[in-house]
Amino acid sequence: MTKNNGKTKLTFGFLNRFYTPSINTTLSAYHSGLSLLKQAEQTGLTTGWVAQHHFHTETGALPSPLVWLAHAAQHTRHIQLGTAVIILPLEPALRLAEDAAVLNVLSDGRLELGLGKGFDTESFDHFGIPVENRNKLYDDHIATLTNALAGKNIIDDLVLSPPVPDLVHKIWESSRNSCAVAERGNGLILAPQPPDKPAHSLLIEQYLNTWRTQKPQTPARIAFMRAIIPGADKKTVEAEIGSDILRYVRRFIPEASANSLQTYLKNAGVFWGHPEEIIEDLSQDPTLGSVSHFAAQVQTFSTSADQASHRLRLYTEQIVPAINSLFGGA
Amino acid sequence: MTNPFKLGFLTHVSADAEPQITYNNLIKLFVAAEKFGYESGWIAQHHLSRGTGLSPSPLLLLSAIAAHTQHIHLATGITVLPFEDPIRLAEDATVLNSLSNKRVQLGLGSGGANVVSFPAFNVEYEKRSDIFNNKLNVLQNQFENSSLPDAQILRKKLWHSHSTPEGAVLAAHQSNGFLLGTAVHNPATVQKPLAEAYLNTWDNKNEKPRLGIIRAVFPATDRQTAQQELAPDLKPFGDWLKREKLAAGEISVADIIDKLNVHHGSVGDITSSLQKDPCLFGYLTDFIVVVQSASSTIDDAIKRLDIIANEIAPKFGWQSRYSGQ
Repeated sequence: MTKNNGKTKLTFGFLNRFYTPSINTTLSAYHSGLSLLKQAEQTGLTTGWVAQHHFHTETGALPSPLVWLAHAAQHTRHIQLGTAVIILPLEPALRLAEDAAVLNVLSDGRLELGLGKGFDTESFDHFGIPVENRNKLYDDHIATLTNALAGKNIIDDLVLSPPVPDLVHKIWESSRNSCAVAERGNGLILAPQPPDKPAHSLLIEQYLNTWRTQKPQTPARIAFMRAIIPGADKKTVEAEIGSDILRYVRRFIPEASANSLQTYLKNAGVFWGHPEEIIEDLSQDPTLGSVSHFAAQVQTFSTSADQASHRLRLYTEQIVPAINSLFGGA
Repeated sequence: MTNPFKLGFLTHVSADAEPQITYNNLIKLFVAAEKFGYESGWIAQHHLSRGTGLSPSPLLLLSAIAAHTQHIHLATGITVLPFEDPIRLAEDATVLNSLSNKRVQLGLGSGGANVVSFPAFNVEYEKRSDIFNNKLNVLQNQFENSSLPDAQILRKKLWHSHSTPEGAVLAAHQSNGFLLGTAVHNPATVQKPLAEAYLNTWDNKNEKPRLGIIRAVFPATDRQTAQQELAPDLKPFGDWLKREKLAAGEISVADIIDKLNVHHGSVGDITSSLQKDPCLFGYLTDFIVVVQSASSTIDDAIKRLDIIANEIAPKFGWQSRYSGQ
């Protein structure tokens, strides 16, 4: 299963998780995020994605992606503004629909609404919502959200205002239940996942099989999102991001050691090194032939604004053209 | 020289055109108001299609506006608290406060005027007061316990809109601001006692009470012209007043204007009717004007804001921060 016939051209994006080691630097993360988004727009990327983190979990400083994007929309003109992802079980679904509708209008239809179930127990605890309920809440909330965005009656004759008929076609889900995502007609976000979970190639196959029976005429939407950390060479990049990666891994493997750094990087789905090395590694990825969108996260916890901008430039100038010529279908 | 009060304006973001044009006009309105020296702009929240406003998400609109303004305070007037998750609301307000250099003011209400929307949000209308109180508590704790300065400061930027003396007392006990005139309440018999209940209850020695009073103000050549301009937009309010048992029988435009507390006419007419308003300059800290009716254009609204800031408010001792420059 390489290039499928319904494939559209490959588009490229950039994902910002607003990592800040200290909450005192939240404001500068919001401002440098704006500069990076403008840089992404100027260098021709299709989409700028932002993540949501509550209560600074994983050192992520942005709990309100839609508020930030409403601001960012005023500083940009063309780039699509995406969420990757909003933790849907923790959102009141109808309020989310309203916010998404207002942002879509404010941004001249540039919103891409990415949703996930969340996994971080700490966030759920803060909201007083049992993490075990997340699957049911996700299903309930996505039904309410989709119904509202589609302009259907919410109760009696009340409908969402402002109306946003196109937004229901711009929902994405980061989910292992890829059949359900396809059944809902939504895009599939492939974020890195632990090695013990089903391979992405399997999720893609299930997604595309379902998609083709549902919407044979419409191109499927699959987004591949990875940490892409370009630098001088693998050793240099490992020195730059090593402590951040170990810090991350130690949440799950407390005894993680620097000796196994390369294994952790691979398991976390990170591509790192000289742009040529990254391109070589990406060219071996069996799933890339099936994706319609490729988004790079160039920051780890302690990346400075300048470093992020430098990596983003290496990504857009060297990696994007190479990946496009390798996998861009159209 | 300090001003005797702060001047603000409130908008319902009425759909005068396609939503996108309406939002662009809203941004223009804030930019113009800031230029005239307005200290705050308040955006009402209207949920779902039954309302007149295109504004279910005031904080998102204010976030866009923050990108185009520098000084004017960005306020919600009001957010229907029972429909919100107070933790998410605290997060959104904090992010906006950071993005806007601490310009957020958060007006809160229990949604009494949104009765039809309650089932859509799975909230029991009858329990809205208790729900308001519980969520207010959570919201305040979020701000108080945050380690982010941009969140902590929001604890002092909360306002309540209530129509009962208990509500006025609650706002004062919580050291929060109080908004009057968001609904059609008689200034003498309803608003004045509420203002007095709020001010008399206030006992926080370290802070001053904040009382925002909202009034519709429609400058025109004369009263006759103002009434003619307003007539088509006010007709639906006649039926509404009857339904709410605030009026009965045949009701004229002049009656509706009177019931809705609309100050209208020439600068002289408006100045004199504001002077006679029994619940206004003797009480307020923030004078908040509404200058749009359903069919007002953006140019109408900007012109009215201009007249109020430059010709009417100065009669009451207010000066734009930009005057004399």
